[in-house]
Amino acid sequence: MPSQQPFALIESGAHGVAIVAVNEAAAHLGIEAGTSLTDARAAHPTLLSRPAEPEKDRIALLKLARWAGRYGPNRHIDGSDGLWIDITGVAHLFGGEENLLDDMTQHLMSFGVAVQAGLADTLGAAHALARFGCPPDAAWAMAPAGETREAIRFLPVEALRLDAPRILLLKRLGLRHIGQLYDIPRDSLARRFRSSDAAAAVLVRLDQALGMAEEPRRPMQPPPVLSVARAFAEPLISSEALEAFTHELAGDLAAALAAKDLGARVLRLTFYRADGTSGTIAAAMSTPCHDADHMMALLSEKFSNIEAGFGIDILRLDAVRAGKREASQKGFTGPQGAALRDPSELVDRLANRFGREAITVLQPQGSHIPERAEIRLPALDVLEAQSSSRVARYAPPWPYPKRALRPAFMLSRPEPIAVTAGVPDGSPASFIWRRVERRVVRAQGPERIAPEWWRTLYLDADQKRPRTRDYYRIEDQQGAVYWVFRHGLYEGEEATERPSWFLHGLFA
Amino acid sequence: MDPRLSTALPTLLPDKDAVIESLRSRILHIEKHAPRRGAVASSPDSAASPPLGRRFTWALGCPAADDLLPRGLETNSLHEVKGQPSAERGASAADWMAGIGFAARLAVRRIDALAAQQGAHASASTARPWVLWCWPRQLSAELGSPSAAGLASLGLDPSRLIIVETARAGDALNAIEESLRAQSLAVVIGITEEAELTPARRLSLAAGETATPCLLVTHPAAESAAATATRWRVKRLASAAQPFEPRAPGASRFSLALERCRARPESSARPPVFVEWNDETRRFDLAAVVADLPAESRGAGGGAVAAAVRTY
Repeated sequence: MPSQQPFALIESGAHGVAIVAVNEAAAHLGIEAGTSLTDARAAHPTLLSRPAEPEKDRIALLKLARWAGRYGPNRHIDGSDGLWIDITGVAHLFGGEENLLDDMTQHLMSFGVAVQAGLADTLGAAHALARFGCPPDAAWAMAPAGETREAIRFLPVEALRLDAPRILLLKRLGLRHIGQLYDIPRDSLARRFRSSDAAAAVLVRLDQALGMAEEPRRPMQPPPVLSVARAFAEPLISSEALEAFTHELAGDLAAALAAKDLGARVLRLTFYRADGTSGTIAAAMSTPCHDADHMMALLSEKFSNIEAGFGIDILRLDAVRAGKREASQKGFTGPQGAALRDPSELVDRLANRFGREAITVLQPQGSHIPERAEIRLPALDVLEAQSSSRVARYAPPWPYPKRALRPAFMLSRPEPIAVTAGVPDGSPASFIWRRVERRVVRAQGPERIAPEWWRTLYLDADQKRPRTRDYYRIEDQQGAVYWVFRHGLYEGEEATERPSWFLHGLFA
Repeated sequence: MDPRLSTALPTLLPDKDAVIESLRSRILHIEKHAPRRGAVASSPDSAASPPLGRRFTWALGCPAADDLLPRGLETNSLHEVKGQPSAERGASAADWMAGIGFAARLAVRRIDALAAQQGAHASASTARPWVLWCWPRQLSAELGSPSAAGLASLGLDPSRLIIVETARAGDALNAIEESLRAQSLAVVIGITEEAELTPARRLSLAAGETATPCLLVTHPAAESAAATATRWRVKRLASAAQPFEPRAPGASRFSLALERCRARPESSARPPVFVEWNDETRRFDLAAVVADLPAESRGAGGGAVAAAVRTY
C-alpha cells in the first residue's frame, strides 16, 4: 500500500467502532486514535481501515523478541508495542553501543517495523528515552554510562510509567519534567498526594529510573548462568566453520566455568541467521563438566539438525544450568595399569543421542511388593549424586540378602497363565504360558507376599482390595525356571473371589 | 666453592620423572599397599602403559570347560552367546534365558577376575567397575526388564549397572560400540536379534582398542556373526538337586558347546561340556549328574540325592 494512503486499525467497542491506531499519512491528516470511525470517514472519505488483531500483534511482537535474542539472552516484551533487552557485556560483539543500536534499528526497519530505541543504565531510563526522548530524525537515543540523571532531566513526567490520575496530579502541581522532581524533598511530595501509595508509586518509579531502586524483571527465558557469544562479519555457511567456531566457544565457556569452579549441566547453543531466524540445540550432562572436548562431543551430535540457511551471523553458547565442581584429582594408580574411567561421560553421550529415558540405573525403593521394590531412573539424574568419589560417600548396600531368590527379569505386567495345581495351596503341576504347555518338574515355595496393609485401611467395602500372593519358583522339563504366583487365597477373608495365576518373571 | 662440588651439582638435581616415581611409591607404601618390585623399578617411559586387560583373559573356572579355550576368554574381543532354538526359526523366552544367563555369569567371572588383578592395588578410592547392559525395547517387552534383586543373586552389583534400552535394533549395536570405546566399563552385555557382518566387525575392533570385553547374546535361530573370538551355544539342563530341599530347583546347569574359537579352530569339533554354576564360589563346576531324570524318581530315592551330594 502506498505510504500516502491513510490507514487505520479499528475495533468495535461500547460506543461503536473506534480507531485504535493510525499510520503516518493518517496522523498527518489529523486523525487520532480514539475517534470513531464514522467521524473520521466523514472528514476523510479516503481512509482505509481493517480490524485490529491484538493477538496476532502480540505473537508478532514475541517473534521479534525472539529475534532480538541476538543482542542478549535477557529480553522480553514491554507492554503491547515494545521490547526491552539487557545488553550487558554484548556491545563489544557489535563494535560498541552506537553500532549495536544502529544495527538493531536498521534490521528492524528492514523488517518494515517503525522503531525508536533508547539505551541507558536502567530499564526505567531506557523506557523514558525510547518513548519520549528520541529526536525526530534519529531512531535511537542513548544516555552515556553514569549520566542517566542528566539525560532524562528534560523528559516529560509521562515517561515515568505512571498512570493517568497521578500524571494529572503532577501536572497540576506544576511538575512537568522529571528534573523538577529531583529537587523536591520527598516528604513534601508525599504530602501532596491523597494517599501514601500514590506518592510511593511516583517515588519508586523515579528511583528505578535513576538506578537507586532495583527493578525486578523477568526475561523470556531463564537467564543462563554463563554465556559466551561470537559475531561474524561474514555469515557462516559451511559446517566445518560452524564446528570450528563452536569448538572455540566451548573452550571459552570451559575456561569461564573453570575460573568460577563451576561445571555446566545443561548447554544451549543458539545460532542467529542473517535473515532474522534462529534456532537452538541443547545437550545435558550427568555431572558438572568444564571439559571443552566433552561439550563439543555432545553438541556435535546434533549439528545435523542445524541448517545454515542464509548464513549464521551470531553464535551463542550458554551454560543454562551449572553446578559446583570440586577440583578432582584424576585417578591415582601406579604405572602398570590405566584405571577405568568414570562412566559419566559415556552416559552423557548415550543419553544425548538416544534420549534421556533410554539410559537408566536401578534404585531401591522401600517396598516388599516385587514390582515396587525397585525403580529405574534416568542415569543422568542419578549419577551426579554418586559421582564425587573424592568425598567418600556412604552408599548403603542394596536391601536384599544375597540369596534373595528373585528372578533376573520381571515382566512389567504379570501375564495370566492357566495352571493345574492342588487346592488350597499346592504348587503347580503344569501350566500354559504363551500358548505352550509346560510340565513342572520342580517347584519351590510358596513365598507369601501380603499386600501392604496400610493401603487398605481406608478403603470402602466395594473398592478393589489388593490380594495376597503366593509365589512359586518352578522349573519345567527343559530346565527353564519361572516365577509364578497365585493371586488370592482359597481360604480366609480373601476367598470371596477365585484366585488366579500369573507369571511374573523369568530366572536367568 | 669447592670445584668438586660444582661438577657434582648437576647430578644432584634429580630428574622429574624419577622424583614422581619415588613419590608415588612412598605414597602407596603409606597407604599400606606396597606395590610389586617391578612397578617401582619400571622406567618412566611406561607412562604409556597398555590399557587394563590388554593381555588379560578370564576363565570359566571349570578345567574341563577351560580346556576348550587355549588361554581363556580374551578381554579384548567380542564373544557371542546363543541359546538353542527349540522351534523352527523361533525362539521361546526360555531359549533366550539360557543365553542371557550364561552371558551374565561370564560377566560375573570377568568382574571377579578384574577385582583379583586389582587386588594388590585396590584401596578405598578405586571405584568398583561398571557393567553396561544394552538391548532394544522389543526384547524388553518380551522378556521383562532386569531386576536388581535377581541380578544381585546372580552376582552382578545392581548399583554398578547401566541399562540402555534403545528404540531400534541398529541403535543397540551403535550404543554397544560407543560404550566399548569409552573405556569406562568392565564388560558390556549386548542382547540383539542378530548382528550382521559389518556391525560385528566394528564391535570387535572397538573391543580390541580398549580391551573391554563384549558379550553379545543373539537370537538362537539367527545367522551367526563371523567376526567373533568365540561363539558359544548354550542349553539349559535340568538343575541340580538341592541336598536339603529335593523338590526345589537347584543350581543351574548348562550344556556348553564352543561352536567357534578363533584361537583354536579345532575346539568346534569337541562335544559339549556340562557345567553347573556354583553360587557360593561364583564359578562353573563340572556337572556330575547329567541325565534328565524322569520326574517320578526325583526327590524319591537316595540314588539321585547321593549323586548330587558328591558334587558338593
